[in-house]
Amino acid sequence: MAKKKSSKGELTNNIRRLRFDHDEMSQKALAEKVGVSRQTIVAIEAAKYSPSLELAFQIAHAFETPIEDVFGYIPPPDE
Amino acid sequence: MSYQERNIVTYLITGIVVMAVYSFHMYGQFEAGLLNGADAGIQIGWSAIKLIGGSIIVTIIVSILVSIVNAIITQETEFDAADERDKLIDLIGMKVGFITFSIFFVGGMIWLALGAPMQFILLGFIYAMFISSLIEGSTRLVLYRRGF
Repeated sequence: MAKKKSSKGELTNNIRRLRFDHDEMSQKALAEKVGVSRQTIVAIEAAKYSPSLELAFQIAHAFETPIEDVFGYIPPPDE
Repeated sequence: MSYQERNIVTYLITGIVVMAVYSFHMYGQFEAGLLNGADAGIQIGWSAIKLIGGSIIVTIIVSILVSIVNAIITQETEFDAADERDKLIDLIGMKVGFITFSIFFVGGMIWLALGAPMQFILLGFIYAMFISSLIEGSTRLVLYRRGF
């Protein structure tokens, strides 16, 4: 599971696992399905870029799964 | 390297080459004393127009050549359309470039107020634009490579 840490919490995603579960869907195939470049999928998967809400829903739709199965959020620990 | 990153690198290299030629040209004019006379503004104005025209032509030619060479090497002929991440990176790059130019602009105005010659300020603005575009391109490249 890829994680993106920030002071606002941690964003996680399961795109790599979901691609594997969907007949090893390639990053390019996913990119074409949701209408972005392969590099954007690479960046999202590596948690180097947080997609817009619209793109996040499109990715979830491409995997035919609810958005919470694709993306997760871990809030920062209370100080 | 992605299509967008390749475009930025092409843009940066082209900019450096064009400005090197421009600097050589302007140094020749400076040595000839053309930047100190009453017509210095006219000389700088024409040089800036030539610089803009030359930059556009060289950028188009280099972009076409790089695309052809890349297509031959990678066998890829499809070009990625800009998506939301590209647009966001463009916006951040433009913001950084604008802030950089603004700092140079204020510096130039202060220098002018302190009595610097007008022709040097004009030339300074041309170089400020160049440095701003270099910083803009570099910022975009870093954002593509490092993520954000």
